[in-house]
Amino acid sequence: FFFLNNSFRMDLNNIAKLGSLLSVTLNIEEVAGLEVAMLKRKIEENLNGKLYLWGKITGTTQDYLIAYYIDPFDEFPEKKYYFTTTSNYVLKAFPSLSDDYQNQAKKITSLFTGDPSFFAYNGEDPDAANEEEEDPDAPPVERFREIHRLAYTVNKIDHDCAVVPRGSYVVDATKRVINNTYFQGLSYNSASELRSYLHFRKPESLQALALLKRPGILKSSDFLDSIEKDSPKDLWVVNYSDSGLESHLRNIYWEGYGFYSVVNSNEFGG
Amino acid sequence: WTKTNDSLLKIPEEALDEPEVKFPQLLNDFNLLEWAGISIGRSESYRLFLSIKSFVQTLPSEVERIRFFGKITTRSLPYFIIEGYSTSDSLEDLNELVQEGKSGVNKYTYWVTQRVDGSDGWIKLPHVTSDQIVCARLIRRLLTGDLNASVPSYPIFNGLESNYLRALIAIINGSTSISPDGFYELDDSEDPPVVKPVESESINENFPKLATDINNADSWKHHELEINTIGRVTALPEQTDESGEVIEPDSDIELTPPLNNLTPEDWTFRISAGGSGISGQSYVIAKSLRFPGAVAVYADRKYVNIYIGNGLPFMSKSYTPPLPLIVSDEYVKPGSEEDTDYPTWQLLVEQVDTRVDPTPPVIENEEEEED
Repeated sequence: FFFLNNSFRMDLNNIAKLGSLLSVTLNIEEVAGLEVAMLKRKIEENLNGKLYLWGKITGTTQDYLIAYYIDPFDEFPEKKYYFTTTSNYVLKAFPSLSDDYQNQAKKITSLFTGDPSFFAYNGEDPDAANEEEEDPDAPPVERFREIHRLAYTVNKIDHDCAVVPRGSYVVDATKRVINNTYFQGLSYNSASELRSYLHFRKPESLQALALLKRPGILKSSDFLDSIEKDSPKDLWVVNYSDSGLESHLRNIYWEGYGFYSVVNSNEFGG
Repeated sequence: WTKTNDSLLKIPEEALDEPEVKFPQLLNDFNLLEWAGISIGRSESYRLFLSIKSFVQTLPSEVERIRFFGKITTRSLPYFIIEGYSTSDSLEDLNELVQEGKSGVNKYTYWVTQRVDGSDGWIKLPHVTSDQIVCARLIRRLLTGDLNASVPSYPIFNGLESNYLRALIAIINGSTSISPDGFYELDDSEDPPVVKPVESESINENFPKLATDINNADSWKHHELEINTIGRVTALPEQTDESGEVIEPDSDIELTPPLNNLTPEDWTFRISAGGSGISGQSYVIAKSLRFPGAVAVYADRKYVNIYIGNGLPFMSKSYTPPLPLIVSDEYVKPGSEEDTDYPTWQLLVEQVDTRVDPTPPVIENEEEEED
């Protein structure tokens, strides 16, 4: 499936950065539709924080645009995702996935079609299945549909890719992970090193977990997994933008992931 | 960086002469592509346009037109590629068996640069040979970003990264250069028939077409020749052996006809601005499913083809390299003593376990030994 994914802090206003980073952009129609959909969702759910653009997954008939929301008062910022298709811009939440559905999702390697209720993955004939349902008023049969696969994929990509610069998040005295308002940005030299970037997810490496369990105030910013340890080696590519003012980070396995950070400034997005 | 960009952006004081080489109206093309969701960044696009323009002015006048082919991402810096069509008839150093000339795969010449402002110059890519194309199809390797890097692979690729890049470009160009029906036609006066662009009056008559008409695979055609299984576009030239007789090729190798139809499964079509109702002036976007990143956009009287991606086709399963060939048996000269139906080593049988004491029996008769 061909996707473009840029997940962190990508405001609709920063879309211009996507061009030099990933050679993609959203066209005017998509931006306008998303603006309205995001605001509407925020009002409906009374969200405190902000909705950000996660990215776009292209399908054969239509594309999915995905946004997420981070609750600033959670212990570890959890992302809650919403998606919409390009035909009608209404953001809907992802369903939660059972283990069985997760396993099914792992095995599929074909392209996304763009229809969230699509379920004919194993050569099933969608028309034949529809004939079985005699009662048109009954709720649709609980099957593994594309929307589940989408939820699984978005979670996986985010797990593998979401990156923040080192030092931009700290653990405060109540053991909550919060945004560091004093973050000055990466220096020019450290922006080209992989160890300056960390995964933004519940830490999985032993070191990070051990750090979090320690009593007392945590001074180090290494409580998140570094991307340096990702295998295979050379999974991440860092370069500078043309002018050298920003550093760009790309993932070779998930080709559509891009991350940029402005040198010596706390602006970054991915 | 500021210095090179400064010189690019400086508006020349004297009026420029009408350039002899036509270069594309990149800014318009980029506007079209933005509807498809493709953009290399607004100021980067403008700087790329300026650097192409200044490069084009240094080219000899035989180069007739230049097209921006696209951008191929690598493990370090990307390659920006332009394609030029030269009217000069001959290409130097061509071995007809191995490479095709202007009528075939080497119809266009390509130049690459790695920085948008062209500060490291536009480098010309070498011509491609048919075995490079065949090999490039079998291997799956990301580019490193260094044109002189070697391409270690199995089957062994015969060239450096600049040859591999050129082979990838040839494959992509052959498979994904499409335009709506009516932009090009077959010129039957030459044999084999050649695709040529239609006269401008006929473009004005046929276009603009309704977007709904163009929204399917039937209305588009390939306007570049596709490469067949042996890496060529035209037939092999006749090979003569030592006595001057023509050698027939072993098997029939198919050539794809020019101005071919599209395979519908390979492409997906969208109409942009679909929300407000589809009008005749909407853009139609065709995205390739086989080579993700190859896009064609049609609007009004123009169309644009571009490729932005990493150069590799879409594979839903993981890539496995081809297995090595079976180890050949040693050559047995026919007619000699050893010539049997199966190679001699297969006749060898494992030596039977000795259960008998192999020491020679002690000779009791001493007289015999003295003989």
